[in-house]
Amino acid sequence: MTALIAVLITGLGTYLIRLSMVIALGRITLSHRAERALSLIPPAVLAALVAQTLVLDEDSLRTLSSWHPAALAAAVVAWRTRSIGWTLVTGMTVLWTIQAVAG
Amino acid sequence: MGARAAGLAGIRALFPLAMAVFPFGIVYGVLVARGDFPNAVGALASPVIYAGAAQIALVDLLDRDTPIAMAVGTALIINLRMMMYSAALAPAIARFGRGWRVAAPYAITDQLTVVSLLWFEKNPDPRDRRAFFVTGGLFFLGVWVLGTLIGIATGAQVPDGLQLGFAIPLTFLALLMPTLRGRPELTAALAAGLVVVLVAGLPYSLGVPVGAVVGVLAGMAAPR
Repeated sequence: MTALIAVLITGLGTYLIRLSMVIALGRITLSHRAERALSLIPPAVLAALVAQTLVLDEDSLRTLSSWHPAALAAAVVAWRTRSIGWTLVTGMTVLWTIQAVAG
Repeated sequence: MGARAAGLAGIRALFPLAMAVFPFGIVYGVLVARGDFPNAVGALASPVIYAGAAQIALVDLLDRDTPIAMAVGTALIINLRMMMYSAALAPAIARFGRGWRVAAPYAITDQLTVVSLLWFEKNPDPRDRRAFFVTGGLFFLGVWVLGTLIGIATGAQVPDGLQLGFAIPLTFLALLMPTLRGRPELTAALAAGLVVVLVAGLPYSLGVPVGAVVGVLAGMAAPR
């Protein structure tokens, strides 16, 4: 029962978070400055997530591993191709190759 | 372009990301199957919460007898970044039409947000945008739920050698790169990343929302 209540509350809360700014900003005509701020949200949030998962491991710096050359290769491919699909394929392929070679 | 073509474009854009998220549905399902968390409730969480990291944290915390308020609070803080996605998507979703405006935000994820905002730049028609967003979102949801169910039903652990843990940062990286188009974006990203590292140790994954807000402010201050 606790589990069900927790899932329902988390689900409702998450939906309200997702809905919040659509309702708050939806009817307002945004200034140029506000639009610029909105356009900076994706790079800021995603860079924060990359730092959290690739640079950090829990609370401390992540030890250098095969993850990092694989991520670098993926970043280069992303830069050149602008393709999310090829970026994912490159990252995983380079990682698996390094592991196969390094045993 | 037409709703049908736009919907297909949505599925096509989300497809590689869905392939990356699918094994995580399995990983989450296995976590549910192996612990004390009721399987049916764990399965229900995928469509109800529809946020992988938050679901994993919630199940994990409750399995370890964390008080419910703290478990739910942690999951919600992990999802706080979606408020920023909600803001970024608001101008587009506001034009989806009456009921859609309230229903569509349910589908907001990291993946759908970035892919949609990129597509919206070249596709201004609200109906096309709605078809792209809703169809792509439902497709992605379906893949997530399917992965969860397979994980719960089989309890089969994905082999460690596949290094799936890397697919999470890799997905964020793949989503980040196409958004870095000018100096303000680059500044926002660098500042956000730096702040997350500097405040490492903030409880409840608060580092991400804090870093993101500082990143946006830094990007606003940067010369164009």
